[in-house]
Order: sequence, then structure tokens, then C-alpha cells
Amino acid sequence: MNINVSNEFAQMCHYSQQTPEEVLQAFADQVSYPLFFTTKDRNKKLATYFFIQLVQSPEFTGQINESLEEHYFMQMATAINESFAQFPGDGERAIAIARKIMEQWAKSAIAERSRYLTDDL
Amino acid sequence: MTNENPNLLTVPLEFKVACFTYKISLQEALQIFINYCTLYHTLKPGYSRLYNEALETIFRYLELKRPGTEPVVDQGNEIQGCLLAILEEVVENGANERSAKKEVAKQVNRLIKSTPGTYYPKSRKLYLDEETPLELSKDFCAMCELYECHPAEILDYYMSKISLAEMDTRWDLRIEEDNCSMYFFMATVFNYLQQHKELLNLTDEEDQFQQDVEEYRLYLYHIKNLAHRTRLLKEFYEDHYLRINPNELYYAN
Repeated sequence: MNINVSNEFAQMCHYSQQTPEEVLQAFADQVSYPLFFTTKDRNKKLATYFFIQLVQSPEFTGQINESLEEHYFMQMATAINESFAQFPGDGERAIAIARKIMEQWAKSAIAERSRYLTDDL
Repeated sequence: MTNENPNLLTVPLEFKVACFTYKISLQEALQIFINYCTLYHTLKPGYSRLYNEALETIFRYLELKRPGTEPVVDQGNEIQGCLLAILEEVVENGANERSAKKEVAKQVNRLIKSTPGTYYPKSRKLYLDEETPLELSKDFCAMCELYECHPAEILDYYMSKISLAEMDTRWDLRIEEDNCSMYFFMATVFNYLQQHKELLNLTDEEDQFQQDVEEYRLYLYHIKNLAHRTRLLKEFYEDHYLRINPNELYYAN
């Protein structure tokens, strides 16, 4: 990974005595839908809020398969609700279930993308 | 919802929320709409910003009420005939807007006076509550007669089309809708705020709520269904409104 570190970011890292790597690592650790939907701690949602804000903004240039997204968000919401209903307060269990769904989602997204490629042949 | 008093308007909660959010009174917001409904613009060819949106709101209501029929009334109608004659005059003589407006209003009102119709309101006032009147312009009253509907019907319809929650959600989901009433509302509110710049200074509480709405809209990202997402955001807006205006709870239920 190779990114430009802006002056301000470098300065903020400098005065708080952290490397940009450490800050970005801490951020990356918390960009997570499973975490976002299972934690009650608003601070732990912030990194994912940033991500959502990015993909939702009109300037976003990436491509999202919206039907897959809708499908897996619904699955995840149902699974998390069921988990909490069965084991109230067990965030670990809910997050583990949500992570499995994320993995399926990632696989489906890759399959979809390669389907487009092979269809063009 | 049925009104016991036909001169008393029932304002839906979402419309209250929208006016409250932009700090415009219900009275002011509705009065602006009434004032933009003019006979002259029903005749004037071409597009006039905001006048056309106000008129289109009336036409869409009529379409809803009497699907398939033209907003124009029957052939034998004297008022309609008169309007068409005036239209010709306006277009041919290239009369200026001001005098044409006056002429249209004068002719139509003269006609309506000589043959009192069933829809022309008996009182030129509608009330939001005992102390808050809306002034129905002569034009607005004449249009009610012309299009055979009561003033409250048009205003009810206009208010029913105003939803901040739906506007925000459509924006977030990129589902466009041609809602001339919402466009009219937002554009006139924007003008209003430009004229009352002091309202643009938000209190800490208002500022915090704006931020809370932004965050909640992001939170709703995972819901892709327009109706579902709109409903949740609508509840969010309404909860806030009712928290700040607890006396409204009684009316809301």
C-alpha cells in the first residue's frame, strides 16, 4: 500500500506521537459491518460511518452490486437479530455469525464479477 | 381525516415537521402556496418558475380526484369561455403581465359574482386554529370554483406531498421522483430563509439535530427499500419534533 500523507495528517500524527501506519491500522481494524451492526458503542461505529459516507456520497466512483448488497444486508440483519434474541448480550456470537455472512457476500461479489467477464467472451 | 369545521384545516404531522425544521410557520408556508396560485398563470403559455409548480399541484390533485378528465371544465361553462377569450387577448395584444393579471382576475371574479357557484368559498379565510387564519386570495377562490373543488382539498393535497423523510431517502437511494409540490416547498422555503437570514443561525440544539439526522441517514444505508427506509427516517424526524413540541402529542395520536 502506498498512500500520500497530507501535511495535516502528518502533523497530527506527529504531535500525538503515532505513525500514520498506526493510525490507519486502528482505523482499518474498525471498518466492519459486523462490528457496526452489533456494537452499541457509537465510537466503534465511526470508522464504518466514514466508509458508508464515502460510498453514499454523490462523488463516489466505485461500483457496488446493489442487489447483492441488499440481499446480504438483509441476511445479516436477520441473523444478528435472531442471534441476539436467542443469546441476549452475546455480541461475540452475533459478530461471528455476521462475519460468516460477510465472507459469503465477498465470494458472491467475486463470482458475479467474473461472470461478467466470462459472459463477454 | 374529516373536519367538523370546514374552515378549519387539519395539518399532517409530516408537514409540521418540515415547516418546523426550516423554521417557517405553517401559516407562512401555506400562505405562500396560496399566493402563487394565480389565474393568470393558468393561461400564460410557457414556464414560470414556482407559479407552474403551484398550478401543477392543483392539476395533479384534480387528476387524482377525477382521473382521466382534463383540468379544464366543461365546454358550456361561462367562466371557462371567458378565460379563453381573455387568453386570446393577452397573447394577441401582448399585454404586460401586471395588467393581464388584473384583467383576468377582474373578469373572472365579476363572472363568479354574477353566477355564484357551489365551490366559491363563502369565507375568504381558512383557519389553522382559532387564531391563525389563512387568507384565500380571490384568484385562489375563483380557481376553486373553476376546478370544482374546495380550498381545503387543494391545501390538504399540497401538504400530503411534503415529506422531508421521503425527499432525503430518495436522494440517498438515488430514486428520483417528479414531485412538483416538494420542489415548490423547498424552493419557497429557500427564498424565505434568504429573506430571513437570522433563521440560518442554528442553536446548538438545532445544529446537533442536523448532525443526528445526517448520522441516522448513514445508519440506514443497509436498508434499500424506499418505503421502509422512508418510514424509519420519518419516525426519527417526528420523534424529535414531538420531543420539542410535547403538546403536539395529543393531536398526533
